[in-house]
Amino acid sequence: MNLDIYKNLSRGVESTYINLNPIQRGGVLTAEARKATLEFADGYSVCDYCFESRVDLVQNPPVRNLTADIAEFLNMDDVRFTAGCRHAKWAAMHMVTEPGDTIVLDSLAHYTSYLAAEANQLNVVEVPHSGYPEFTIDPEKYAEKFEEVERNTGSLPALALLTHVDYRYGNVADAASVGKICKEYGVPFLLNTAYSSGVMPIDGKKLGVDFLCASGHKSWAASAPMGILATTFEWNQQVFDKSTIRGDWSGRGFTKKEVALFGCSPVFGAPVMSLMASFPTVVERVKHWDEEVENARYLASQIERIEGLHQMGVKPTEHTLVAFESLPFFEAASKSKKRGYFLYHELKKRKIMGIQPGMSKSFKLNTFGLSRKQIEYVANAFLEIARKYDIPVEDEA
Amino acid sequence: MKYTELTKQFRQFFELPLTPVAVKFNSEKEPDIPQPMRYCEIVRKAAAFGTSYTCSADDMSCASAELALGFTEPAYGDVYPRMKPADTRTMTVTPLDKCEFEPDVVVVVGTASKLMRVAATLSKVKGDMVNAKFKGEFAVCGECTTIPVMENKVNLSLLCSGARMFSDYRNDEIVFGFPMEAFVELTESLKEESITKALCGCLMDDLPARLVDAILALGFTKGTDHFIGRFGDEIVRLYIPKDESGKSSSVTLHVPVKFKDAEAAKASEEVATALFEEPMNYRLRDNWVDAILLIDLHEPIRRSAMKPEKFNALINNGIEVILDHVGKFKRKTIR
Repeated sequence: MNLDIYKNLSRGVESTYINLNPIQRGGVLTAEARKATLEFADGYSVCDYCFESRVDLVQNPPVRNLTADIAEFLNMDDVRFTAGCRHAKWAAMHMVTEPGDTIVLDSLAHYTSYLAAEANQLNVVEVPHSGYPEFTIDPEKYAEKFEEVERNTGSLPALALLTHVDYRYGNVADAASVGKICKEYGVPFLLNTAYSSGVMPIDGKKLGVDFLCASGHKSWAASAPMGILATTFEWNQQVFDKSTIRGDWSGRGFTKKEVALFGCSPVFGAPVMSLMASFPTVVERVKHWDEEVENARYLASQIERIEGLHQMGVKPTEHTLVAFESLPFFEAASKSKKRGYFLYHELKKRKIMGIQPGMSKSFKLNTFGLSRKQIEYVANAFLEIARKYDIPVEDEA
Repeated sequence: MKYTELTKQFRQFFELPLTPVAVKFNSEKEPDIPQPMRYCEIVRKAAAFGTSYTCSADDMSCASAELALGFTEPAYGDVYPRMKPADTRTMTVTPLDKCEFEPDVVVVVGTASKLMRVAATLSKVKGDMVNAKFKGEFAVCGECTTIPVMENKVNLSLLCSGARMFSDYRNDEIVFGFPMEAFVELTESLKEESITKALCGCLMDDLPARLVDAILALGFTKGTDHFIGRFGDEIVRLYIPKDESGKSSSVTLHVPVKFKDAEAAKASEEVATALFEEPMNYRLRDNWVDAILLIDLHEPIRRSAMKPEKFNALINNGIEVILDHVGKFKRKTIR
């Protein structure tokens, strides 16, 4: 065992770099959160004044207030914190379905949606996407799949899951239409907002959502692992059901603890406090979503000036996560000593990071939170790299 | 710690509860065994409890092992298998993950069902059958230690009555003996398929290799969602759509054409409508018009790809058609 490798740890990411990593933009801590993270870095630091045995009920620091405020912010009735969005999905499924049930989910869902179903012994039926190049989800297909499940199993699905913004193309799905269909059929609706709540405005009631899962570390400027499970009064008793187990010999009981949240969600330190510290900023920043999208569209239009580079997904993009196919970069890679890593290295030289190393046939990036000036810098970097490798670049219109 | 890693990889891949055991003849170590034992007992203790012992001839409580391991020459006749010449002074037996020397042999104890997988993997690596020599005697000592050293071959043993009666080997256990090099070669070849495939749900995870190869041979390269390649002056995308039940019996070719803005793209619709008729189509996307050609294979794509001539002709013809139409479209719309 070489313990020296655990000394003087550093992330190796210069703070002066522009980070385009699709999963990291919305999780960049605010200055307040960074301060709070240090202050509450110790293991159970939120529990100094815990009188109610649950983190969501702690009043000092004001976690109880935060719970209520987040519910209001999302226009849902009740909220709990979870160890990530994946835990929120697992918890909702665990409490409202039975092993052997079938759920319907979009075919662009994150792997954790599938795994949450698998862990709960559920069958999944996918709603197909539209295929290349847009990869959109047609809400009407949810109705078709509900009926298909009913025909095949004798009952409607136990749950429908929609990925509000998919991680591959950044398409914003029509959640309101899916919510409406779910209401018509009486199928509970779980919306995965890992890439939407916290960066763009979300109104759970308007979208007809029964369970809203969010990712603090992906989109709420919080430290990992931090998730949110929001629900309505129709479901909160069932989803946040309390423990009824009792020791057969000792007689011990834990009746305030909520089963699907492991009794008390394991976020009682830096995760929940960074979420809290960033919350005022998050409430404010979602009001500027249109500007964020405008920035992403600008960058997409600039990157598309490079011959053969083409944005996949819905155009113009409706989100800051954008995917491009880039055959000319792949061709350039074959001439470079760095092979597929050349794009990563060329960007790194220009103090830009976050494009997956080794990827050159296609790449994804996220512009959320970057200033226009930074985005112009990124655009120029891509154009410069293209020119360097003799890839034609259109003149600016 | 190379051996720690090797052990972990081997045990994890084959799901083995017991640790492979490293054996060395005449190591630098002094004998340190607390009381005389059978060699096979020393090996199983190392595998199960992680004990390490160095022993001499005096520490051997089994005459067969003494002969097989070369501590002594036979008094009359000969014995097979045995170390020749019999110049063994000491033997060190230790769990491989704790090993600090270069072992001569690695002994692996496991159930028949686990070691069956070892055998199958070994034969894949070697490209040959596993040829085992065993007779139910001199098992751990002769068949799994001496033969690997003397004949430099992997050997399998069904154990012997001594091992099963006195040394705690279970009824369902058998033993493999590896020359060190063979063990390293086998372990380094192990790859967990599920780890190297389907990392995060690529949209083309489920395509059979034959189909992928057929498309690559046409001049495309494989992306995560579709194939893409340069043909003439254009970049053509090949996508494999699925019907509602998830079956594929067609491919679509795509060439997106860029206009200066969304209005200009919209203005080209009249030309697009005339040019891109069945089985062609087009889609307006902001400032792009995507030309699409549907190629119906009239059979599942997996089957179609097994007929390379026909498949290639269909796709190549499709590429020609779409390039021709896109060329005309560009001439009529983009000055």
